This record gives sequence, C-alpha cells and structure tokens, in this order.
Amino acid sequence: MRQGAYKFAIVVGASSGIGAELVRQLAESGCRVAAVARRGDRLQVLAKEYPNRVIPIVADVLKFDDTAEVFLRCTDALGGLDLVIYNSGIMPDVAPTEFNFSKDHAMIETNLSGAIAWLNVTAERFLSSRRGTIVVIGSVAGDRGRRGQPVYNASKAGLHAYAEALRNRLSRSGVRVTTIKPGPVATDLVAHLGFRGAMPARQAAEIILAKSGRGSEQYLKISHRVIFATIRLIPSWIFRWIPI
Amino acid sequence: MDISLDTDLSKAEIPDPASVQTDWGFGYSCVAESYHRSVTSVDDVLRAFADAKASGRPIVLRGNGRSYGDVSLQPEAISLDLTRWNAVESLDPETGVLVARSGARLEDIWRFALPDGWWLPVVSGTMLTTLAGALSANIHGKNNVQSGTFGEHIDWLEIASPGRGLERITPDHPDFWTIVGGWGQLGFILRAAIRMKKLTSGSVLVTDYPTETWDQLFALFENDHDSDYQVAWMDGFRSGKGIYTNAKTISADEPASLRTSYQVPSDRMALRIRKDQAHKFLRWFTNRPGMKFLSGLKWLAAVKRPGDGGRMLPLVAYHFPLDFVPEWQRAYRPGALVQFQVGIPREAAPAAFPAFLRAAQRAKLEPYLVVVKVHRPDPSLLSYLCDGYSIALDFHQTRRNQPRLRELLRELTDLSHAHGAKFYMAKDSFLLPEDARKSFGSEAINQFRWAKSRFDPDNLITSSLFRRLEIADNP
Repeated sequence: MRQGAYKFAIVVGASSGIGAELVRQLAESGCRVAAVARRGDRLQVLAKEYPNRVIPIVADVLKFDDTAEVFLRCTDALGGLDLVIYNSGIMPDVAPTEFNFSKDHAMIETNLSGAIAWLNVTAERFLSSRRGTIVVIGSVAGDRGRRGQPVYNASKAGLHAYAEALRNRLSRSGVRVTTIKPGPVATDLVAHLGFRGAMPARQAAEIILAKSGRGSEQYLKISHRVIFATIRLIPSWIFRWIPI
Repeated sequence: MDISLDTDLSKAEIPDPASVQTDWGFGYSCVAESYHRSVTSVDDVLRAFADAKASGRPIVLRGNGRSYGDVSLQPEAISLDLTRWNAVESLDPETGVLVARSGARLEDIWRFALPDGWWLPVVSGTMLTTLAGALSANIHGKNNVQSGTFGEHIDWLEIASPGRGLERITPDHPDFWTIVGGWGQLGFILRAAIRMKKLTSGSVLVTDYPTETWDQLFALFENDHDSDYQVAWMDGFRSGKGIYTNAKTISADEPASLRTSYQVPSDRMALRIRKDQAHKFLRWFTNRPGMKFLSGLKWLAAVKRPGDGGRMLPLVAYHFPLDFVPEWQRAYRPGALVQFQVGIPREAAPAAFPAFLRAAQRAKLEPYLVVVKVHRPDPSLLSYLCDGYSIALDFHQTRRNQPRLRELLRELTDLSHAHGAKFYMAKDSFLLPEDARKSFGSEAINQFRWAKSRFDPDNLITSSLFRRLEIADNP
C-alpha cells in the first residue's frame, strides 16, 4: 500500500489478529482509522499506540439495528471515508459429529449477516459519493464445503458471493470491492486448531492492504491461488475422502 | 417578505448515507464528502438549521463549486446545495433592478437580462458563480477600479439565519458588509436585488498591449483612464513579459449584439475539436516545457498585433472565455490547480510581483497562468482588496511537487505579508490563522465573530476554510 493511499478507514473486527494489525498499519501510513469491535479494552490499547489516528468505537456487529448509527459515528469521528474493511468473524470449535444450531447461527450472524449490515450501509454511501474501497475478509475455507466446519465454510462462501455481487453492483460507480481469502493466519481465531506454518498476522495485514484496491478475489499467496484453484476442481465424490 | 414558515422544527432528520456526495474545490486540491440537501424552498433551509441544531452536525453552504479551495467544503456536514434555488424572478425595465434567488448563476442572470439591454455591473472570470457565491465572496471583475465590487450594486438581500430568522438587509444596515463578503458564514442568502447596468451594445472593444517589463505594465495600468475593463496576463516563465488588455463598452445602438446567439461562441475550436474535449488536449501541455512554449506563443501572437485599434468581442466571450472550454481545470489532473491570489498596495506591487516570480522560478515551480488586475479597496468587513493591484498565480500541484509547492506558497505568503497584502479566500486552501489575522486585522475578525454570535449563535454554519483559519469561532 502506498503511503497515504487511504485517509479515512473503518476496520470492523479490529480488536485482535488481522484486524488489529490492519488498524496499526493503516495508522502508520497516516490514515485515520475507526477501530470497531466489542472489546473496548483492546481498542484502547490500539488508540494509545496511535493517538489521534485510531478512534476506538465499541460496538457489536450483531446489533443490526444499531449499525447505521455506529457507521455515522465512525464517519463523523473520521471526517470522511475511503476504506471499509469487514474483518469480524468467529470459528468456534466444532466436533466432527456436532450439529449445534446456536454455534452455527452465531457464525452466520457474525461472519455473514454482520457483514451485510455493515457493507450495505457502506455501499449506499459509496454509491452516492462514487468512490471508496470495500475489503471483505473471507477465507479459503469458503471455497469448498469441508466436513470439519460446515457452517463456517457456508458463512464464508455466502460472504464471497455477497462480496462478488456487491462488486458487480458498484463497479460502474468507481467503488472497488475486494475479497481477500486468507489461508491459515496466526490469530486467536485458529489458535485452537494448532496450524503449523500459519502466516503471521502482521504479514497477512500487509498483503491485504497491498491488494485492497484490486477489486477482485485475492489470496494471500500465489501458491494458495494455485492450490485452491485445484481443490475447487476436485469432484465432490473424491473431495469427501480428503481429510481436510 | 412573502415567505411562509411551514416547518415543524421539533423533528430532526437523521442524515441518509445515500445522500453523501463528494465535492471538490474547483482546482481539485480539496475534497470533502458531505450529506447533500437540495434547497427548493425556504422551509428546506429552516429545516436544515433545525436538524443541524438537533444533531450537532454542522451545515456548509454550497453553490456551484467555483471556489478553488475549501470555502464551500466541510466533511460530514449537511451540505445545503442551492443550485436548484435559482429562479430569476423579475427585472424592472425602468430602473434595471433585477431580483433573483441566490442559486441563480451569473449566466442565468445575463441570459435573462441582456436581450433587454441590461448587463451585470460586476462579473467574475466565470459566469458559473451563483448569486450567493458572488455576494458571499463579494466578487470583483476587471472593472474593479471603475465599478467596485459586486456588493456595491445591491439594493437589498434577504437572508435566513439560525439566530435571527428571515430578514431583509439593505446597504445601510450595519451588518450588510459583514454578510456581503462574509463567505456564507452568517446565514443562507435567499434572494437579492441587483442594480443592472444599461447597455445599447453587447460588444466590447478589446485592445492588447504587449509588455517587456513590469514597469511598462504598471505604466499602462496607471495611465489608462478611459477604459471600462483592465487586466493583464503575464508570462510566468519570463518575468515582465505579458499582455495588458483593456476593453471599452460600445455606445452605438446595436440591438442584434444583445442576442444570446451572438454572445455565445462556437463549441468548436481549431481543427473542429469540441471545446469540452479540449482539456484532454491541454493535458499534453500541462507541464513546464509545454506551458513555457504556449506562454511564449501567446506573447508572440500579441506582439504581431500591438495596439492595432482593437477587436470587437461579445461581452460574454470577453468576460468568460474559459467557461466555453468546459472542465478546462481537468487539464491539471491527476494533480490539482492551486491558485495563489493576493492584493498588494499600489506602491509595493512593482517590487512584490517580480519577487513572486523570482521565487517561483528559483523553485522551478513557475505559475502556468499569471493575471494582474488593478483595484480599489472593497467595503466588506473581511476586506480582501486594497488600493493597488492583485496578482493571481496558477500552480500545477502534483503528488511529487506537493511539499515543494507548499514551501513556495509559504514563501510567497510571507513575502506578501511583508508588503501589506490581503488574501482572497475564494482561492485559498493553505493559509494559517495568523495569515488571516494579518490579512483582515484582529479587529475585523473580532467584529465578524460578534456578528456570527448574533446570526449563528450555535455555530451551525461552518466550512473547512473557516475552521482552518479560526475566523468564525464565537468568542
């Protein structure tokens, strides 16, 4: 990302992991960032690290009725808006034989419904101002229906489809919508899965910001693009035997 | 006043993200996004005041966006867009008093009045300025010495302000010259009555005089006592070389020349290129070598026809040539056009103007366009003209030269202060509070704040420029 490429940004899901790193790097580039999350104590740490650059906004993405008001609070505090990154996401531990609706519902609400609530209001503004960048943090997990995390996969696949539709709707208005599909990144989200070789969050955030203006689907590594293009081609009757 | 108030002020409206629009300063050096509201009635204005008060969201008044900098911008504010409040309401054929709503552009006004032989007494270099913009900036023209500023030709104006409601203000009112030249900070001007100028011909006789030195230029300005309009274009790359141009209105009876069809030039230029596409062609020349070449060519062309008895031009083509090259400022994209305009007292200008160009040439940031005009002081409280001259320098700001350009503008500003300068806010995007204090004087600023505290006690109306310069803050 070029220094000063963005002046005003909102990062939703900013308290830890990739979100917190995105906030740090945007602030370092001179951008004013509204960092939105539930955990105010963590946001305060970020705000102290970058006084006058990071504005902590404590909000719950599941309170859909409040989204428009929180969004207004963010834009008022920032004084403008160039970039919105939706990074909120949860992935609770799900056992291979577990079918727990409350866990599943929470994933759909946070990963997909929250994104729709935030990005609809963002899209409305950007469509009118005819500029802006939306970045949706998806996942490689949304590329196929894996047996380990059915609803997480579904929520991310839904998110990718929503982001693509948004991209197609807004492309003629000068608004860019970029879907990032990270693979394993060393964050709280996947800590319980014990991934080896997970990408550090700082590196992931750097790549996300570098690719933020592309207006297409992006993986963090070229190797991911190749691997997941291949995985998508595997017939379902073979894929079900692959232990991933 | 025939204004009805039919507004329930108790219910404030939440701004709609779908009303957010991106507004630029004319030169593309400033940008802001704000919640646009189109004004089509007085109730719309009062409703906006009520909403601003209820929500704490400020209001910025936005006309046709012809100011170069951030005077009509304020991020995340309610932007009251007055371009649809634009009717020309009446013209008295006996007295020539024209009444128009504040969103009417100078173009709307001359198109309405010129066929009957009435012309605006003062016009800016663009006819796309709104009446509200003309009053708020108290604009001047090439006839400033002869006719003063726009506000000096107003019989009355009507204003809606948060603190005082609706009222009609005449020039003998103690706040008239605070509102006129007040940059829209005291309230929303609704309509005004302009004393138009009677003409029998729609043409002017225009004569060019090339100059080689600044002394020649100032001598031409000082010794020209019978022209109606005076202006000079100077070569930003060759100090002193320029073209002094004067123009005289024609007293002959030429009704055909008053027609709109005679006034508006062709929409094509040389090689049948459409003028609205010219900025794409101009972009090739919007660089130092290109502009140096074009400036040299312009001067040489004038040398070939020195004081040759002049040429007849339609008034509109003479006053607003750039308006017929739509979006010409886009030639400066992807960078921006930054204009530095300053008024310098008569005795100081011969030293100051060459010094400005020397500084620009040292920095290798020569202005692509330099315009010099002669002035008399203006009566606004926040006065920007003095008995002397003004110079406007057009700079090309790019991502690369931006820090150097800022340094140069600071150097020019400090040089200007040393010569007792006054700055024109319609062009500004970089001055600091201390510059404003030096330019307007602390007493004028305090008086302005006092007026602000009466007209807008809650500081509902603002702009990026006024926040930056800390002028309008209530004591």
